[in-house]
Amino acid sequence: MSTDPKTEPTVRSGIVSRIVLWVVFALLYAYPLFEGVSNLIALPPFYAANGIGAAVPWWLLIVGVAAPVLIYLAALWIGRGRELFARTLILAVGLAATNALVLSAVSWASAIQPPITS
Amino acid sequence: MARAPQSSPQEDDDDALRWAGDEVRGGVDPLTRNRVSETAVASLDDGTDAAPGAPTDLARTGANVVFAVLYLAIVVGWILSVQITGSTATDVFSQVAWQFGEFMAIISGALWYLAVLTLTPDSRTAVRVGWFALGVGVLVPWPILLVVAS
Repeated sequence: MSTDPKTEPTVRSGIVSRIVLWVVFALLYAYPLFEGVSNLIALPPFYAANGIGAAVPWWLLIVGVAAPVLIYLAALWIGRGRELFARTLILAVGLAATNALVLSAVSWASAIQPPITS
Repeated sequence: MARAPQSSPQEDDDDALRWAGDEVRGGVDPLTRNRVSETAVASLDDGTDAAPGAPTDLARTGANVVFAVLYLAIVVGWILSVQITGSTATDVFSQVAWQFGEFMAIISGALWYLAVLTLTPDSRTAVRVGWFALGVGVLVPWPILLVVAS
């Protein structure tokens, strides 16, 4: 079975550009994920140290960790089979939505935090 | 070799359905009586309700306009929201990353709206409205809403 020498470089460049896109956006999605993991690790001890350990907003902490991963995977899935511009646009929309969700989660955590009496 | 001109079947039909002197009498011949001219159809297609397919187009355009207003409100909401949120980080990388996140949140509404317009040109109106509605639900600018509500 022989491959067409003209189409082979095009296919290879398409795969390379796709991989570059995935890696670049993975790095951009990594910071909201890092923030979510940091909050998950640091917030419960902080609440416990201030006597409000029972009020840890677990659901917000889980959203903060899960949102970047799930939205990134969803963007990859929605973009499959589309051209590079559409894939880029979908990943960018997902990244923007992830950042909006992270800011919303931080605001909700502050809004429902019980007053600290020390 | 010269070929004698032949009349098409359409022209034959036209001739058969006309009477000599129709124009002089001001009468309408059977051919043109029930014919809808192309210009009339074209004029009906200009956004009027009577044109075929107009309700779908009207709903689609209406959805585009309504959601454009909603997404504009989301962008304004996020511009106000980033004024009241802030990072406690002191290192440069964290501050730059936080501000990048705020910038992405501000443009999230515009990006989502343009993406739906760009990526669903041939989709059904319900599909487009579904994507618009999902974006409105995800991108609610909670920081400013929570401040206003408190």
